[in-house]
Amino acid sequence: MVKRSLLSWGALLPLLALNLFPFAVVLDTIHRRGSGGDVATFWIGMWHRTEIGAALINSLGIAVSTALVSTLVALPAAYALSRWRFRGRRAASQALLGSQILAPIMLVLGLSQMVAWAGLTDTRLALIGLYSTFQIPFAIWMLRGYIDAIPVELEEAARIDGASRLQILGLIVLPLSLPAIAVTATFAFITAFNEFVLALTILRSPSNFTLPIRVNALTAGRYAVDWPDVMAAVMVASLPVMITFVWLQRYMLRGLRLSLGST
Amino acid sequence: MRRGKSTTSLPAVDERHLRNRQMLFLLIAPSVAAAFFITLVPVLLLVRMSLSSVSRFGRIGDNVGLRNFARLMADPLLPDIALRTALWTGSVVGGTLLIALPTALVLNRRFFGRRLAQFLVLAPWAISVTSMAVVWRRALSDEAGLLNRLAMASGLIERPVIWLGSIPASFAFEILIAILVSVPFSTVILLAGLSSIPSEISDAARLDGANAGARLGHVTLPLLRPFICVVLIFNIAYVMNSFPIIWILTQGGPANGTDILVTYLYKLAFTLGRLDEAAALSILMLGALGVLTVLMLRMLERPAHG
Repeated sequence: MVKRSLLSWGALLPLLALNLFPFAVVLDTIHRRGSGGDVATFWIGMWHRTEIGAALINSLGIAVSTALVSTLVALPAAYALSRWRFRGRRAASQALLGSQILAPIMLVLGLSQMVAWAGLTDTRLALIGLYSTFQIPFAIWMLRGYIDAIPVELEEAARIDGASRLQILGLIVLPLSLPAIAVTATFAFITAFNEFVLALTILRSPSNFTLPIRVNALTAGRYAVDWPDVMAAVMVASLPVMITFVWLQRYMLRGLRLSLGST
Repeated sequence: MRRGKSTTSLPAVDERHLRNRQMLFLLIAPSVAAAFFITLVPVLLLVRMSLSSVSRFGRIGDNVGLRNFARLMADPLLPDIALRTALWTGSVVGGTLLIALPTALVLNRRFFGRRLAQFLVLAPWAISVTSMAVVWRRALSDEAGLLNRLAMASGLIERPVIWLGSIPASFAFEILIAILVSVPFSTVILLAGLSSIPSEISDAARLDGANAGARLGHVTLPLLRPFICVVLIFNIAYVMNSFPIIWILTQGGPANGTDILVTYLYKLAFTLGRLDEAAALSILMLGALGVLTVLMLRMLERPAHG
């Protein structure tokens, strides 16, 4: 066991070193900042100089809305795909997996025209709508895996006891799917929180910027980049997802596993 | 693998059957409508733009037939960029699988600190690709930075190097970063696959005298096949469309030397203002992707043996 442990860690070492390298760069850059007083002064100054606070609020708002909307729309469809036998059901399952390949970047030009027509250019609402819709196939795919694992016998027993469809949904399926809903919403949250291309295309005014766009704006097209500030901003931008990840990693992995099982 | 077979296979009275259908429609309609809306409308807009002359502000003018496609085909940059996209996708997807598979095999066995190791392997997942690219840009452009100090200390280079100054070095690093970003998700899927293989099968092979290599080649890998396919599908989709790494590190430069199709598409549309040609390029890419997707889904359909 000791030998195997050493071998395992040894085999993983190069990858782990590469994974930890960016963290080291962030800390190194902040540590080597030239002038600028003590730690607290630096962080407070950074917060004002980079306007990261407003971006954090925008990102959180957009990501939470996306998580809610996409999960709510996907849930009934996932239930239907799991429980109904109908023509085209297999094709629908394949389309779910296939649609993963249709990334926003391919459609970005058409999407930005669509947003312009709707008069929603430079709004956070447009991003919520686009993110939610793009997230739906993945959300259905995730939720279906979970719902498949809930025994139908429970629902049948309830029906025999005289429960209506709505009662079955509300009292049996919904409570049992809550972990799945949480996991699916978390994935949607992370995706929306980190999205880059659509936000870059649709947002114009700095007050609407999300975190990735704000971080990018701190570096792109500038002659003098204040790197310690940027690295600190990156830390702020990464913190929410990092916390979510540490907290929910186990459930996220279990959710993916279930969804894969039913593909 | 699936449970839950009986909801509608119960002998159904016609009326209940009908109600069931209506319910099905109600449950699925919002998702289907949203999916159609988000794909069909932009695709139709793209088709229309690709067949018209479009001003740089997005005003759609006369129908010009296939002129935009012809111009695109005459673009001297495009063949190189298409080739580079293939190189990019191939090396990132291949590299990811080459790293993720052994990593998953190691993590699937019991050893001291396995949970910590798994957490560290998955850590890049928690950081946005944008942030990752910005941090690497700093690392690669900083003469006194950590990368140069480490490389000098280990004797790899004699003087600090500005890595982003050269095209091959930039592109190589972009590939490396893309691999690092893709490894966590791929490892998770492969781990899920490994945990679905009953240990009895491997034990039986061991009793029959198969050594570790034979067990891997004849038992584990064939059973892992569907999961490897899922990894390939997700990664090919993700990597071909991967925009932020290259955009943030080099914006496709210097001199279009690190452009792939999606960065060039974005440049055509939003930097150069050639919206009609960009629309034509989008249509071509969508067509190619459609073919690729169908092929990959076929691959997933085929059973592991035969």
